[in-house]
Amino acid sequence: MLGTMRGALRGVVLASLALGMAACTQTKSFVHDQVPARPDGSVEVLLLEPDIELSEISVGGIAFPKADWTERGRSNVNAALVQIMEQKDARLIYYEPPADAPPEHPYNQILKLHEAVGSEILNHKYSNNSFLTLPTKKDKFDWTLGPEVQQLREVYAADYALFVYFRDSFATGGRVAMMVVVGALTGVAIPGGFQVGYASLVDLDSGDILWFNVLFSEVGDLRDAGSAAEATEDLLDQLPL
Amino acid sequence: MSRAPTSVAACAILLIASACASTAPVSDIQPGQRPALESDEAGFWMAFEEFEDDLRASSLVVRDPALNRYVTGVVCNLAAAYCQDIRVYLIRHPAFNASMGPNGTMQVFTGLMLRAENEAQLAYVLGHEMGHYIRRHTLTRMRDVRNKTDAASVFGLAGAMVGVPMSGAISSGIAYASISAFGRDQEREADAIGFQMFRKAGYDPTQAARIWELLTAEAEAGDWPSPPPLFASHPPTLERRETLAGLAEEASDAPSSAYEERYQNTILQFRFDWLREDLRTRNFSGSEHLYDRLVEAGHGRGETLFFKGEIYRLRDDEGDDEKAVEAYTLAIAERDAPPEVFRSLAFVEWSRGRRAEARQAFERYLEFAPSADDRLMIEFHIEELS
Repeated sequence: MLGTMRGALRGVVLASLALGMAACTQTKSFVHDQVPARPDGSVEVLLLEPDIELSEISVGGIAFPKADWTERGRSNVNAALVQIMEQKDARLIYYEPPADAPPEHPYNQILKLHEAVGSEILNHKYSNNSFLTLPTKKDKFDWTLGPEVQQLREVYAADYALFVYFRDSFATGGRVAMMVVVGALTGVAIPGGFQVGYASLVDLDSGDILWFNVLFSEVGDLRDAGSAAEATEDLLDQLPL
Repeated sequence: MSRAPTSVAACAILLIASACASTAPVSDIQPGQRPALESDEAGFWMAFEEFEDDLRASSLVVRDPALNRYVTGVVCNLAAAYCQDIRVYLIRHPAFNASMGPNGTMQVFTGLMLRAENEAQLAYVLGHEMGHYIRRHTLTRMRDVRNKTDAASVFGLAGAMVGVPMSGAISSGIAYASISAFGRDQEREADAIGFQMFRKAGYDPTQAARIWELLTAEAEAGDWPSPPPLFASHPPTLERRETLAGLAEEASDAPSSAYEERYQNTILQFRFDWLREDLRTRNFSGSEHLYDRLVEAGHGRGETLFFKGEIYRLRDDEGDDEKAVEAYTLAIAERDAPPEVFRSLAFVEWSRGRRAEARQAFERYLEFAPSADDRLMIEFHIEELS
């Protein structure tokens, strides 16, 4: 279960960091130590297919993926992204993976590298556990994918690459009842649904991760166009474009 | 004051009701059928589609076109109607395993391909996996998991309310064991469907039970204990073997074949890599048993004997040096001995203080593999031994 395992691990990281944050909607972002000035006029942003999944939390506390909610969530977030980027005078270019590219294909390698680096940022910059703070990264933010990303810049004629990730879950009626009963009897709050997301902006010249943001919300709902637009705006609020 | 307990009680009733939701039986999936977007089944398909995207970009997938065509051909031969719905991924992994995703993602491990003696044995396993797909086992299993974990948390909570110590742990233990038992029932069902397709496609019916015999013998010879039977998701192997042997006896006398030559010729060029992966498990006794069986079967004897020698060279127990040299010597007598056999022989001879033999073996290694990556190192060793 290669991919799912990796996804699950990232989910655990995000969930554990979410528990350290308070209720409502919160974001926490980092900006690269050296962000080159944004070129004047319109910029081109390569959008990697947003990784979005919506699920339902059963009474027993298991998240079951929901295809119809996910489809709605994806289309809501994509619509919001178009609007937000328009306001920033940025043109979205959509990444289309080459058909049947082998694993050693440079695009696949760049995407995998971003996933690995993103996980490290989540682990080492967002954890409340000081044990996970890397001495070499403590007071700086200088993660990079390296200049190989220029291959994407050349093919797609883009200045930046944008990665967006969202997981949104909702408690079933039974789960809500469970939360009420357990809460009333023991005073312990057991988790229901919540929303987590992260986004990163990569400079397609240097490969530097210019900006990275994590969002956690107990009230968001990507199924709803208005709420999805708000969540996407919150996620991209400090985007240095 | 009285409002809270009432709503808690109402919630408790709602919980019991939701935990007792029944699982309606599902019909077989039809060729080309896709689940409705609103269904829970579509959610499982979606999750597997994402997994499949990762699989497509994974370096663990064996991409050789001819080998992939061959295995897909066996799938289509078993059930032509579902041929378009099932996508086979050969996974570089030394375990005997295959699995089926709800959306038709079939994974076949190279450890299975190494162990199957013929196409019929492979076909029986593929048929079994297709049985899971046709019967929509992921869907029924996930619904069962959902019902049982729902019930476990509700009854665990109810138990805690009336004061049964450890009731949460007990109910989740019961739920887990009962989910496993459900898994075993599905395995029986998949066996039955797989066997039917396999028989109809003209494969030798005795081969289904035969592969379980081989696995049982290998597991018994191995260094590692098998999982506790209560939690194993597969029916006890003996029971499965007997059922399949019974089915084979009932099968008609229609002409059938195991297609051993065709199978062995197809995998021949991959066996070396697969044996190397198997050796890395360091389950030396299990590997020894397996390689002995492969040598006896007579396909790729030279390379198999080389790996048998490697078991002893790496294990390095009392007397293993002699056993390694014996296996390497037998390997060298075969036409298909890999050049590496001389290098390994050289190291073992050297460690036994037989420097002249070691030097000679290094020289023969370079003779058979003149452009070896480690040529400079070996030349250095030859110099040392002079």
